Amino acid sequence: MDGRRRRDLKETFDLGLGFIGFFAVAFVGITLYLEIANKDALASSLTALVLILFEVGLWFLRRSVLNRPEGPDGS
Amino acid sequence: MSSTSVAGPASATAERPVFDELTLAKTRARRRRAAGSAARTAIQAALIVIWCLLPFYWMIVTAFRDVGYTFEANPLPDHVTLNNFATAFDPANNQLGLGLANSLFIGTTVTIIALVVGVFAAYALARLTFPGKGFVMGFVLGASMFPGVALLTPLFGLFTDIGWAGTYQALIIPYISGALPLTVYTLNSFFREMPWELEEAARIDGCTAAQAFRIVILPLAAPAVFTTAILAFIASWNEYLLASVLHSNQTQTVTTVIGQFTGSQPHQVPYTATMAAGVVVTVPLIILVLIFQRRIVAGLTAGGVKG
Repeated sequence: MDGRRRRDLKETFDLGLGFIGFFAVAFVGITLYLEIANKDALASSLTALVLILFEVGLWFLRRSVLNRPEGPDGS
Repeated sequence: MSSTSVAGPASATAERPVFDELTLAKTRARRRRAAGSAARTAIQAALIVIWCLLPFYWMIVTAFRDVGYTFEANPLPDHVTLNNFATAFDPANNQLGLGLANSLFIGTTVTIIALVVGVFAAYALARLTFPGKGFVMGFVLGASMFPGVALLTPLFGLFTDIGWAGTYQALIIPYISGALPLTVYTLNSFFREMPWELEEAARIDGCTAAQAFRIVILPLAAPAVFTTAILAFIASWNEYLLASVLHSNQTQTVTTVIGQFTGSQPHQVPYTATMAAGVVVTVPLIILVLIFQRRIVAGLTAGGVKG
């Protein structure tokens, strides 16, 4: 994997992490508010959980892809 | 003495003329195809233009039509009158003048703040190297896609609690959070495509990083900044959802004023006055865009080419 491709890939992963991260933070905030206000928070907490799991999965995928050793043809 | 013939361009031309029948037929066919293609393009463009402009045309025709002929199906202007504009601006019935002033004030404030913050943010994201840059861009992208309707109730509750309900800042602050991602994204793509050499040359000439940005980069980014300003202003000017909930009588924007138009009779919808107000609201935007059309297109396409 050449430098430019690696940089583009890293940028794409970071963009995805930020995008999902925004919604994860938003849903964690909503869940906290609902819990404090003693309202039903099941749906928002489950959504936050799914988003956080997705974020963690994406982070591990990013690490494994970017740390992959280069092949003999540079790919 | 035998005569010798020399094969070459002259003899070849003599044997086979350049414009023989076959070539001429091919040229004619190519021209016919080109003319047909141009005609098809023209027809498609005309259809798209008609499709886009027809509602505006109908709005203008209805705005100038006498109220007694509101539902007339004639597409051409008839029973022309200016009474609808007088009705729309009548302070006894509506607050269109106040709404226009409020929209202008809010739109200008939002545009200025979003640009000042957005230019610096976009420059930093495009030109500086720091960890988590892509993450911040993703965060901005997420913020721009967050549905506004989901924020309506929490914002209303928050602004009521802190005593901001019906104030200008209750509209300006949410509008800025909507305009900022647009500003950052548009300007970021522009700054990324700018050659690094310009900045390096300015630094070599003795500029600090801030001076290089202010003296060299910012003037060159003027078309993109201008485009972004117009887009941010239009977004703020046209916003209805938040304004319909967060306004008061003093801070209502033009979109909410038009939404509250009432007829002279109960349950009567004043279509002609509403259309007249629509014309008043739309025409300044159209004029603005037409005047600065070239700059807008230059700004929109500036960051679109790589390499």
